[in-house]
Amino acid sequence: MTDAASVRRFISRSGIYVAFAIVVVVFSLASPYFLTVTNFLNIGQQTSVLFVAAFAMTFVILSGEIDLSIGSLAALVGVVIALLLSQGWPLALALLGGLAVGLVSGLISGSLTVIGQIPSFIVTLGMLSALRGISFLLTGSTAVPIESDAMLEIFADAEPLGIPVSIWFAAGIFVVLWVVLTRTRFGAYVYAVGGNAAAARLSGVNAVRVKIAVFGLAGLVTACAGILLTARLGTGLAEGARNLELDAIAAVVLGGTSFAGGRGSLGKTVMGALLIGTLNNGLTLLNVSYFAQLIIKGAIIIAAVLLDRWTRGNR
Amino acid sequence: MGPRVTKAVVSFEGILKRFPGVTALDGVSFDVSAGEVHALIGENGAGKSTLMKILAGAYRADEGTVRIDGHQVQIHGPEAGRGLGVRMIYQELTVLPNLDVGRNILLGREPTRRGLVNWRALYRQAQAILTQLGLDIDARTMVEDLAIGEQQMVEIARALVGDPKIIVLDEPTSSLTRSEEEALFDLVRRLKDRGVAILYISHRMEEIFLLADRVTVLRDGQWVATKPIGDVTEQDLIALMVGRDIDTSAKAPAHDAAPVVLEVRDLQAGPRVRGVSFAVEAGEVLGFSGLVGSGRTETALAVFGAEPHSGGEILLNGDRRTVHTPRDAIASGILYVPEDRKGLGLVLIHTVAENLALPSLPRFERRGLLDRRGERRFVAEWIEKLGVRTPSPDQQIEFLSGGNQQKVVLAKWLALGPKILILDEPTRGIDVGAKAEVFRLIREIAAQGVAVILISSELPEILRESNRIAVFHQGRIAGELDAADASEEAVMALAFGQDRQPDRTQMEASP
Repeated sequence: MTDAASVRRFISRSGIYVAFAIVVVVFSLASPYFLTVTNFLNIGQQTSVLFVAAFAMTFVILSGEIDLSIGSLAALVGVVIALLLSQGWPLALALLGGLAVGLVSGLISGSLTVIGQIPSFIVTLGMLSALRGISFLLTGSTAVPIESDAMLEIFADAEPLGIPVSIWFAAGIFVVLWVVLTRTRFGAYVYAVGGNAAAARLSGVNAVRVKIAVFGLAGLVTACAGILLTARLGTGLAEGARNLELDAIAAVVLGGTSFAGGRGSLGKTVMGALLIGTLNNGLTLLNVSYFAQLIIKGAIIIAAVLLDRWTRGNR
Repeated sequence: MGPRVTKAVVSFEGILKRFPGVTALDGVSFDVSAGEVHALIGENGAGKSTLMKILAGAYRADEGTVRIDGHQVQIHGPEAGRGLGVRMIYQELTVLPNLDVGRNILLGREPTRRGLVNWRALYRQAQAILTQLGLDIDARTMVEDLAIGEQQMVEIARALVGDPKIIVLDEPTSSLTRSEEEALFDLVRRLKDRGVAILYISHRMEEIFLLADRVTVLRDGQWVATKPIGDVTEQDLIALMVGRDIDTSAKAPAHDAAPVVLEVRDLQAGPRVRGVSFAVEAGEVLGFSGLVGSGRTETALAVFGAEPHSGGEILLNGDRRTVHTPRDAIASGILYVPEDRKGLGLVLIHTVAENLALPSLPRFERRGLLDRRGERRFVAEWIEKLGVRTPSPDQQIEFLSGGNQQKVVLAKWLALGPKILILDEPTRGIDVGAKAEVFRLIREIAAQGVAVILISSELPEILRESNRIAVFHQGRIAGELDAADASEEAVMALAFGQDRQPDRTQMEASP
């Protein structure tokens, strides 16, 4: 019984690492190509957009809310940047325009949630639909090519020190957000508000402002994901980044961040996103059909949460 | 009380239960008779809950026997316990607010006819049980439309389905108003007259002496004593529980006149605060007494900015202050310890350190970043200062005892250097030893010149700890008493609005 308990404790602390290790071992045995530097850089590059989106989602979930509009927003940001560039805007201004769209959209979701007192699930479900609609209206559902070689080079093709630039961006954004979450008052308030909003308020935390700021920040970070995605695709696509929000939620939950808020970390999300990215990569290498991949991913997400329940139960 | 019935309904014999690292129960033996109210008392962690869970079938004893009606029983799971006639009524209500009373009472035991629920029989049976209990509640009322006290009655009614031999009541009065308490006590006496054995767990001495026939004391998992209630005094019981003498009779030190720190004039807030005026001096403990719902807590919340106020003035050291949010109040040095410690006072899933430092974070900001090392030193210092017993600052606060949780709440406010500290039922759900420590702290705080407002429903507590008592009645302060020569009767008379205009005129006068 004590043994079972200590196994539980080990898994609850390091379950995601165990799962990741198992996945790596299985794929390495199955495919000689899997365990190579090139392939891991590949995984990093393919997963970078998910990383960034999942960081945004981590903040929102930690604060006790949810944001379903992340995929639609990332697509809209790409569309807006592509259109601004085609209008002859300089790259820097077009990027700022895209970031502004992200920030404003996040602030709207946050304000409706906190001030309008509508559950964020509903608010962002509406935003998910509305933002996608705006993208289609703006583009007439045609792909808008990125008319800036600089953008493609800076955000997709460059390989400083031999590492794809999107990995550098994901890592840089991680560092900045990690500092915000663990080393600032705002970060501490995000946890407090997510853990118990009423108690945080009675402790002098402006819970309304914190939550709105979380949504605004998430919008801004999502815009960054949108920029990386658009540069990789080379076009602004109204139907791009479909289901990105679901993969992001999956990464956060797989990592072990509490869905109820107040408990978790960005580091956990990195592992969650890495696990999803590795699964995508490995299953493709093994020629598993896309449909079967969806089933396997779904099963693993549910299994991970079950494992989490089991390790937390019977305290 | 009638003649003692000696037939043992439940006997515990040498019950031993170990959890990894601790022995929760170490050879506990006593019995409970039919028609007896048997109080079970002890500090938190003494083993009361563990013992009750063994009786209910949630845990299994490692050693020892439980007998029901003289037969040795193995209780595997709550349903088995139920089948043997054991009924548990927990502190937290388990009635379902979205169902009506009848469906709640017979939940899981609905009478059926040809496989379908026989609704008419269900409501008839439920109503019969309610009538038996002398309750004037319609079985078709939705539970959410009932007052908390009535919901608890429904909970008890539910326990009467089938053939209950022993009913365990765990802190049943913790969320009841005074009149609801009276109704509950009546009910307990009626159950007792029907020959049901009642095991009554409570921290409140008053009700133990009012209701119990015998009392069993547990301490650190061990049986200490079982005695007829007539053979012991409150002091005896406290000494038995704590294992040492705790003086609960000494009054708070007298207060010498000092400048007024907080003055509130004609405060109006919501339906329950209708023109409240009072003043507190530095170093004074002002008690707020009154019935639940009389406006004590609501006044405190309005002064703290947690609830909006529609009229009146708040003056700090003679200057008007605008207090619209808790942030405003905190900035002015007005701090509030809420009654609902777990729901409002703490972030339960966070650590001791995180909870303690939360309101003090601004002072650790250096160019936008937090000085985490300074914060840790600060936390360690306050844990030490208030004697919070925790294995580490990183312990999740949920797993601390109520008394230690309350010390963390106090520490987080004291660290801000309060001018006015409002404490709302600060000892609720805290055991005797910790209560004494909390009051020692409150006295120290007042001695340092902080103006303290103490809200409490327990008369002996408020009479002992306050210098002056403001008694609330229907949204106003009905009168103030000097605690030195006030009696419980005098406070109650004001609380019930006696020697004032009848209630009706006050109701009509309000907006």
